[in-house]
Amino acid sequence: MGVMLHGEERKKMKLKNCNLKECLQQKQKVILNRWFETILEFYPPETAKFLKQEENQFANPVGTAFYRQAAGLYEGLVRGAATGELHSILEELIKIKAVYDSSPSQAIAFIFKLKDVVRDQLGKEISEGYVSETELQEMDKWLDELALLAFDKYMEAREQIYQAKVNEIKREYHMVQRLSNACG
Amino acid sequence: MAKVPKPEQLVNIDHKPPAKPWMDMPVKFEEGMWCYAAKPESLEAVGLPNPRKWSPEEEDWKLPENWKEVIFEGLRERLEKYRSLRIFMDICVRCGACADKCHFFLGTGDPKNMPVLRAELLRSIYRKEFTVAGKLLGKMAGARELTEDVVKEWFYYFFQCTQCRRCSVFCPYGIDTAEITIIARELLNLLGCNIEWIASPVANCYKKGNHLGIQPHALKDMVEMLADDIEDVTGIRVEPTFNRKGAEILFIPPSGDVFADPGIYTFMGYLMLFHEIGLDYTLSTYASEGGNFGSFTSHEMMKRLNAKMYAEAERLGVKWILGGECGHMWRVVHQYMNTMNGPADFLEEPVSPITGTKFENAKSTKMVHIVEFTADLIRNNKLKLDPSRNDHFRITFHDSCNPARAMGLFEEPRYIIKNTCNYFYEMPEETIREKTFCCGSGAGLNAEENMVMRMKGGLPRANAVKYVHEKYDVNTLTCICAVDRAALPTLMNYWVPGVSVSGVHELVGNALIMKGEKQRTTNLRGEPLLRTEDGGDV
Repeated sequence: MGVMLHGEERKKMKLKNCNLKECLQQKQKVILNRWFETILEFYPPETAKFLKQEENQFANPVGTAFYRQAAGLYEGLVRGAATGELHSILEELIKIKAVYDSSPSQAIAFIFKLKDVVRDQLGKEISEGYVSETELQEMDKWLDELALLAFDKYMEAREQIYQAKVNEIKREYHMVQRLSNACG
Repeated sequence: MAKVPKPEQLVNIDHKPPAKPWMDMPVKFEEGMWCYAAKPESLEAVGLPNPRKWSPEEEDWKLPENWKEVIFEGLRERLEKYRSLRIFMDICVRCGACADKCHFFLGTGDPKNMPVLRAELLRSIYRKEFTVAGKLLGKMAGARELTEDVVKEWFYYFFQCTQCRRCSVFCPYGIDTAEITIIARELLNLLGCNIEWIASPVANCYKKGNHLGIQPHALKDMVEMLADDIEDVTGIRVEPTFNRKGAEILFIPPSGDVFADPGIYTFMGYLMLFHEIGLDYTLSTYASEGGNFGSFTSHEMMKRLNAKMYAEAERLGVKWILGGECGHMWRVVHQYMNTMNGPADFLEEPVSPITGTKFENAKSTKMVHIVEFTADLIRNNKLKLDPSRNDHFRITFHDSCNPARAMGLFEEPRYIIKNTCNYFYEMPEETIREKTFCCGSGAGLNAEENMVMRMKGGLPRANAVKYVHEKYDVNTLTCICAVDRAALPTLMNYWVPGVSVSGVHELVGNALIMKGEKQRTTNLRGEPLLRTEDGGDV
């Protein structure tokens, strides 16, 4: 059972608990952009530049999708959403990663990178104690959970790719199979 | 004890590729990004050089001893033969207009998949051997030595181009990068470096008339089975004929429509349409393939396979040829056939026996695309159609690359769709018609081992489908290409679950009211109709 807090102390604590959230909201643009850049580090520089700059979602399906999905996850973090709620956004993002990265560690590394990005961008707030270590640990825990979910999504996507090969052969030889069944 | 890396070490992998000029970056064969090598028996069947067992994964590709000479001589011969090639080698100013238009670049992010850079892989060799500046200045003039690594790089990247020609639409000089890929693949074939997914259909088509190598009796049995299915749905027995001399028209489908799901439903649509209008046509068990994987191998092979269709038309004594919903078949017919095997003077200028319409665009090739034929029937009120039978389909149309960019066939398929369906929604303008995105599996790349490559290459197409799926609840992607019908279901299943794939004539078959038919309760796939014929709900 938690320790009972009184008056000012409780108010102070409540305020303190919201400091990270407040900072994440205030610095959303810069943190999100930096995180987006770390996702694009996988690509050669000329490609990364294109993926970052072209804003038309049909001319740049990968770059715009990464940004949209990263923003969705970030919003979930700020809101303190249950990671399960981010199921579909994460799935979309991981499906793209699953056709690029053959190892799951590479594919989901970007989630852990957000820990570094937040600490870098909020260096002053952290060193001055405005954002507490407890809050950062909570964030880390949230991101760890997201990473576990991402790992499941990665495995699902890879299995889907392998299953696709089998399904395609079945479709391609559909009539051959039917004929051979008919002939006994 | 082995040293286990800590989690933070695992995460801190530097993904940034080293910043080196592209010429100094050796090719790396990534998993799922290449196709298996052609088997010796597939090359031997059509007399292609250097048949052997080999694999792109191995260090030694078992090239012929004089391989350099073969490439240089091959390139010299083609530069003399095709003026277009020399122009394409010389005039590119590397403006970059094409760079971000390729679906493989957009999907893989690999700069060597920018059409300009992919072409540079060949141009750099051309410059070194065939230009003074290249000989004298080397790298400064964009020239480089031909090495075995260059051959491997060619194999990796020219089999990552589907010859879709989207880049050409944006090139201010009109450079056709597909032509460059075609030539590069020809050169690779001189060394015996082809992929089995192309070489096997070529051999099968050459020996038995279709990609799977299905023999005449089995082909006939399969068509009969599809006639059984039509009878189950409509109560009407269609009676297609085979190799019938004296028929007015020879009908040549892509064989995928006879063998593969979902192409078979499109094939059923063809048979139902021909029965209903009383068309005097025949199928051939010898020219049973409109597709031409020879065009992914060499001009010579394309010509040899294309010639079979015309030889069969002449043997059967038909007046003209009607072709099914195929992609590259039409590029071959529309852009090459006339000067390759034509003009087909022994055939007659195609005239629709039902409407009297002269297909003047096919005056020389004598071959009419079925969507032109059917659109003409609809326009002349020759078909009774009930679009509500397709009400379970909320449709978008994928312009298949070749009919779109090689033929300009934009309106006819849309006209048919609008007359056979009630729910049709276009994808965004920059992803359709001449700017259509490729399925990512064309030009012989719809193998299984390169599934990852196909998912990347098809991503821009899928992205546009996803948009209409979310906005309009589109559940069906319709197309007029058999490779699309083979490849897109897999692509949709991965990127846009809930969207299935059909051909245009499947929609025609569903909507067509046939004389004497029974009340239909299902569509051609055996799925229940949303409404019964008398208007009640099922």
